[in-house]
Amino acid sequence: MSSVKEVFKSSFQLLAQQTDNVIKDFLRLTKDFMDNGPNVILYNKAAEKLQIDEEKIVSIVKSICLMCVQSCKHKLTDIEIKESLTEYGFNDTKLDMIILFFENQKPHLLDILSSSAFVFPHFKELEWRFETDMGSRSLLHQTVPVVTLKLDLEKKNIFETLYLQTDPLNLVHIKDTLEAALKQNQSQWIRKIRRKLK
Amino acid sequence: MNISTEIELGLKRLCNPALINDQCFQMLLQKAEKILGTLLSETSEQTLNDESTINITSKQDIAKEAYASLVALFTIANRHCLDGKSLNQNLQTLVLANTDRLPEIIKTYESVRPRLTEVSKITTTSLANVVDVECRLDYCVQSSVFDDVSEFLYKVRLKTIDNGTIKYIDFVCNTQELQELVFKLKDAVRHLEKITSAS
Repeated sequence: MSSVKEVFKSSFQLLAQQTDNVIKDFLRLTKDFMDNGPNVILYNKAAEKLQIDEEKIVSIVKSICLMCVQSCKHKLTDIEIKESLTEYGFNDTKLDMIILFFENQKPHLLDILSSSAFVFPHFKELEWRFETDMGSRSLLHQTVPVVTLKLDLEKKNIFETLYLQTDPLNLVHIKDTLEAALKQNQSQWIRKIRRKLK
Repeated sequence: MNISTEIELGLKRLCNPALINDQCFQMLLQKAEKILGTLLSETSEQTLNDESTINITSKQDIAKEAYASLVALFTIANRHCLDGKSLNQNLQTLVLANTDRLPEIIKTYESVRPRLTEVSKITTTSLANVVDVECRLDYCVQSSVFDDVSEFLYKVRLKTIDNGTIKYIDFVCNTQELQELVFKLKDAVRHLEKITSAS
């Protein structure tokens, strides 16, 4: 069994030998693969038309797909992709076609990749309301200040709404803590880390 | 303040030296003070198990009835936010065999009242109460999906108490989202300060 790297190499070498129109067809097949998954009928037809093994057709489609995904993962620029593809013998027109295809697919791929990574619920919105508890079953007359909070969190486009409450003292404490954390972001130490890790 | 005839009867018996002797009366008051004064605190369970007063009188059923009435009276009085003086006035309307015991009852009520009010305030249906916040700043370098992430993430943890159980709400903010959150909180605090300074 040959390794992914070898399959990738032979597929791209084969692709580089095809005419512009055929490459266009392959890119269309790849788009269909990305959107709808493998489609044996389409590959059969292409194999007949080009006189290439169906297996090779599938390899080429998968290789283009892999190239796009890896380029997204490594955040490669167009120039870097071009450089890495030249070794397979593509001419400039063909490279431009592939790059254009990649650019078109990029937002979609990034979306899928980000959603496949684990994510935490993100802060989305906070609404508040100031109330006073006037009476309850256990205490008929009272004046207890309450701040009711509606906290919206978002996780993979799913919103979660939490209803919470707090008292004024705690509200000030929460505000102070988070404000201090925000200021920390500008500290020398954080700047140093940011510079070192970039 | 209205009290039921059962409680009224129990109180009459409590103040009747022929049924509850002085020693037993003192014991019942002390027990009520101990129980109500430590409600929902860590020692409250210990006091509940302390059954030393049970053998103090031969008329146990009456002692129990009197005790229950006393505790019910305190709870109802507190519910109506009565102070010692108003409770005294209310009790004057009852025809008691021995009014000497009234001041003692009032004294005990006044000593347990602060705790009772505190417990009554939190004995209510409420949303989860946010009591604390923790924040951590993380710098994400790389992930299994992306080779180069390079972003700051604030992990925020709100500590809430919901009906006595502690729960944590965890979420993350990037710098912009945290700025927005702080802005909203500042806005709320500003309005609160305005209200308090106006009143």
